[in-house]
Amino acid sequence: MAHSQVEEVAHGLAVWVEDLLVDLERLESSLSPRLVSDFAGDPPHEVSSKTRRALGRDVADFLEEHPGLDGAGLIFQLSQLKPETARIEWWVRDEEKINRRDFILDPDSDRFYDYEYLEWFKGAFHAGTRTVAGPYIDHLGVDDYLLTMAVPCSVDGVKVGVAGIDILMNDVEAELLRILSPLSGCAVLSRHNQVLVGNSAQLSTGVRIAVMPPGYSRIPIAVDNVDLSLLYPDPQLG
Amino acid sequence: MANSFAFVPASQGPHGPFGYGDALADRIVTAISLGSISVGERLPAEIELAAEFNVAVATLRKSLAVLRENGIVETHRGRSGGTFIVSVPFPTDEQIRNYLSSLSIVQYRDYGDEHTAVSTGVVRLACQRAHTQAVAELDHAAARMKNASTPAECSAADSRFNMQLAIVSQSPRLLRAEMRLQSEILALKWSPAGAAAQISDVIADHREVLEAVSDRDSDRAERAVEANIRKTVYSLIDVKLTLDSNGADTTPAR
Repeated sequence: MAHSQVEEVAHGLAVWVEDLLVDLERLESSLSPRLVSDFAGDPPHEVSSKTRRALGRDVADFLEEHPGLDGAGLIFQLSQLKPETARIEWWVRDEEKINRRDFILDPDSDRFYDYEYLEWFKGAFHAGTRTVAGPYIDHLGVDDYLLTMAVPCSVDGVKVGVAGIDILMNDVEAELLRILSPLSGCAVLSRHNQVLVGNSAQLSTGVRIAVMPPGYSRIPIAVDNVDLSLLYPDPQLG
Repeated sequence: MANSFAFVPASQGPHGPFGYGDALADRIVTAISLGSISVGERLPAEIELAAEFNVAVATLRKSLAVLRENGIVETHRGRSGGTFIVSVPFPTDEQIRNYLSSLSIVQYRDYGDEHTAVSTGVVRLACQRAHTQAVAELDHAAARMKNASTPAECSAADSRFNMQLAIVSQSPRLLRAEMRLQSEILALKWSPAGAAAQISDVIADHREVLEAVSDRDSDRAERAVEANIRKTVYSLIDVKLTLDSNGADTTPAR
């Protein structure tokens, strides 16, 4: 396959990721001002039911406009919130409807959703950068096989958590196979060199590429602050 | 170690071991606590469940309401709708003993065979697929064991580590299989009346698996996982044989 074709596919992939991240950043900038009064003063804070309704309307509109997404919302650093009312402001697609989703945030519970250690939170909150995390099984979260994108969320200039979107891996696969279709035997790799989606059986989702397979090359998928790459069979390597 | 609720003693009277004052509610909770169904799982449809316990649907609904009031199950609507197990009480020593002596050695061995097949498969994939972030998450899950003290807490922390291993394997199906297998064994493994696992031993067992995964040494990881399962299963068979030779009362509690 011609190198120009590989570059074109890498560009198509970059556009797909970039568009989602830009939309997510827009979502964050529309949601975070709604928290200003609830988050005034020192933490811990509490999201009021009035604010939650407003957030819910915005996120529902966002999910309507993005039918490929499974869920979206805001996730705060736990210490920002009063333990007794701590929640994740998360909405998921439930067949035809958009519903709020609750998670177990009591650290003593057997089913505590310990998200601050997950890659999307560490990347977007602790490192403060746009983060593309996955594929991963969100076992105590939405309990599905996912790709999550997250960006930092700040209220009045104070970092409070992240805004995120989830895409089911089945849907990521359908989207990315379409973009990859001009090429064969290639794969999108995460920053951990794990296959996100590949169009060959050997390069299926979740496989970690520990060493570059012989006859393959890779080029970066150019998205600011996101380390994804495209692995492809390189005829020049014979 | 059974695939249904069938093994649960049928007649525990109105004052079963969990004392909900509702015999059927008690039987369902006994089944849950012994691992017929694990936390987070959906209960079968009411019609199926009623048939399984040989009661009318209305009777079953009444018992489910008791479980709901006691925070054992929750009912949700929508995509993820149904009645779900949200908390599992730890079984009493007597329940464990009755259950252990009701099983045959063949059932223990067969359980061990399936668990070994699934878990060595899980850990082999985990070795191939674990990246640094995944190893860090596994390490974090292992650390929960240090804060555990009661058998119920140990069981939950142990479960967490094994679930995380399945998460690292990247296979949702293997995760489900591992959850089912873990829920069958954990109460038996940690109960003082069962295999009476020791925290320090299990921390060391987890450490061995964690190191093997982080070195991506799948032979070592599979050996460790197999040895851990064998240790528990052998110990349970010993307990069963001891109970049998002491002529334990295997009839249901009154």
